[in-house]
Amino acid sequence: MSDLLTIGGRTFQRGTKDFVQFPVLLDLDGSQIQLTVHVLSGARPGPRLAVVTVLHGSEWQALETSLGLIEDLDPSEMSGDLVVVPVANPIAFATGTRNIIDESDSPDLNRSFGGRQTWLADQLARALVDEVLSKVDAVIDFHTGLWGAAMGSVTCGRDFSDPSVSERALGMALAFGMPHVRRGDLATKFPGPASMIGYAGEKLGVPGIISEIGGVGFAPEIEQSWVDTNLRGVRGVMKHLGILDGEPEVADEVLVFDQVTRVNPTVGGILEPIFPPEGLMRDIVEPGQLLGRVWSPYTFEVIEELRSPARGLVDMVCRPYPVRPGDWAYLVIDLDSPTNYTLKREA
Amino acid sequence: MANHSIILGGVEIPAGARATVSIPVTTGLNGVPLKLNAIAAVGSQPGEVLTLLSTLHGGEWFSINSLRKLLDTLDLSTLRGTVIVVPVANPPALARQKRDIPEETDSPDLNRIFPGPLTWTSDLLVSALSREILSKASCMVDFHMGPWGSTFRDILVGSDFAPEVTARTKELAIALGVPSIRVAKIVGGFPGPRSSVGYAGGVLGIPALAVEIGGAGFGPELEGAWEQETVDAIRRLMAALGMIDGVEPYRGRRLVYQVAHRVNPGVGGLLRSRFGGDKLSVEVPAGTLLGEVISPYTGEVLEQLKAPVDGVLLYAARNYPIGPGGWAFGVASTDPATSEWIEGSLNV
Repeated sequence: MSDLLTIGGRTFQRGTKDFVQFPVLLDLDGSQIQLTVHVLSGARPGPRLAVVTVLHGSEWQALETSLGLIEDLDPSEMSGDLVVVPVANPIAFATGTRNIIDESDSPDLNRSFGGRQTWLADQLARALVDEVLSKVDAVIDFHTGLWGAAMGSVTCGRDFSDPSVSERALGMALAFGMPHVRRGDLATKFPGPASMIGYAGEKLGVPGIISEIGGVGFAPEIEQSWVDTNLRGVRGVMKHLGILDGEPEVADEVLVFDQVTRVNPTVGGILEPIFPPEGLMRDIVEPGQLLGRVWSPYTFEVIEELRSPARGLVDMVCRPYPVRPGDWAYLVIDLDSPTNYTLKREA
Repeated sequence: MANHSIILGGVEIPAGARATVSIPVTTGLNGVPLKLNAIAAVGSQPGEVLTLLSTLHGGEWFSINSLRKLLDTLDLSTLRGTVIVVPVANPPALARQKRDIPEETDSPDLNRIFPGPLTWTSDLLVSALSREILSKASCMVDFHMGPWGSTFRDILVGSDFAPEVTARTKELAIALGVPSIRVAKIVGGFPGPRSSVGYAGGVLGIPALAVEIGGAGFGPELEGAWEQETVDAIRRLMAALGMIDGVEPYRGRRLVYQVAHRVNPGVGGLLRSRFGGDKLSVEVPAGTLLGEVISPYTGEVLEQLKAPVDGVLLYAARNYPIGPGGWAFGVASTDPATSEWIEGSLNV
């Protein structure tokens, strides 16, 4: 059996960097929706890692990560393959929306894996499974990066039927290099195996992590720092898997957490942050601390205050922007949760 | 000149008071009454009635906070005349952060349907705005632009209003103190008499300006400066209208021009900007590479965006995904045949 990777009918030779575009579906406007998949085929055989961005159409900042990886990495230095899907959801990306705008019952591509229908999202998910997920050994899914809000952590699953998948996913998450990892039930709870990472782990036995680091609409320097963190993180995972030489930079102590509370508005208005973006996953807030407020764009009155529910780290920050009820504002990690634990790096 | 009090939506607001008035517009299919909110700050002394509109296009919400800050600067005990702020002229479009009302109408764009003759939601909003707000105004400023990703600094003055209205509007635009002022046919050209400015200047015969300052997605330093710039500009306008005292005139250069070029992409992709928000109002020679559009799928450069003429940058953009025609760059021609520089402060 050949150790060469074939995607979309194209076989990628060792030591090359190239891409393939293959059709997925024909839409009503006559456009042939296709997926573009880049393959950085290492000079030597080895593990295969997939990087998938823009599964949600509005979460486009991670494009800087996927395109940066394609540009920066040298296949001659790789043992194994990096498969990059810069825009996994070209339909929603074109409309700048999280979901595909159709009257389907599966508009969210990241809730459509395993779908058996012929809706647009179902067909895209199947193409991703058939041509990418089923051909790799690990996957990283990038989220966040929509206008107005930013996140700061990496997530992996702990409840896959095959415990080794959960353990391998944790190893990837640690190799990403952050001093905190969210470990949740990605197979048995929301969104379950209908999400890409849930499906890969549960149905294909492929471990994966979700990077939700970054956001757009902030100062250029802080946005670039998030992109740099993601680029370093992928390289760390590639080292962990043996695709790149060297050891990943794992934090000396890693907080593993699972209790996160959304602190999002219940009303529409202009969100005015009090907690600064620079404090993302750095500053500890106290219970009841004011994180932000919402004021009416009609009367300028403050109509809601957003306060921390716990002593915690803030895993989502925002900038001033118009919000509807439920829109992204803050996430707080409960630092006093009994389910938290700390992993210390062995000397 | 206005009386000491003003009546909005059937509510009388006395001199020296600030009040928010909700003007009923219609009831939507969701069963919820749609209202237009206006905030009136009535001075203790009579004077002009300045109406300030924001978010006539739902995606252009950047000026809302500027107007909030402006109101906080006003001292009603010394204010002469009335300031009426309509912070959100298009609530349904703001709710979706889209330029237009997402309905299957043939008049989805509020700024193309004044005075709102039909019964679409958009027409009813504009009708209420025209009937209850603009009819009371002696001067109007309509704030536009400021959607995510692009930023503007420009004023639009109609050259085809009645001569005395055009002259007064141009005076006020110069007093406002923004570095670039476009003088163009509004009633007979773009955006036409069915725009807010075209209607106010051309039909109501009051000085009317479209002001575009700032944009969202550039960080607190630049955005905060643009908000303050807007507040300062409106205060200079109010001084020119005789409504307030003690305002320093603008001392910078202004380009008064007639010809502007949109330098927007012909393809969709990821805009790589070389002239971000900090480059607004800089002079660019013809041929300057302003930015590139790269494919988000392959990383290839799909299009280069270059300045078509020697000019001043009217609008700029950050890196962001952009469709064909999306806002990238605008250049005002500095050809002496169609433009002139005005130096220093002017006492209008």
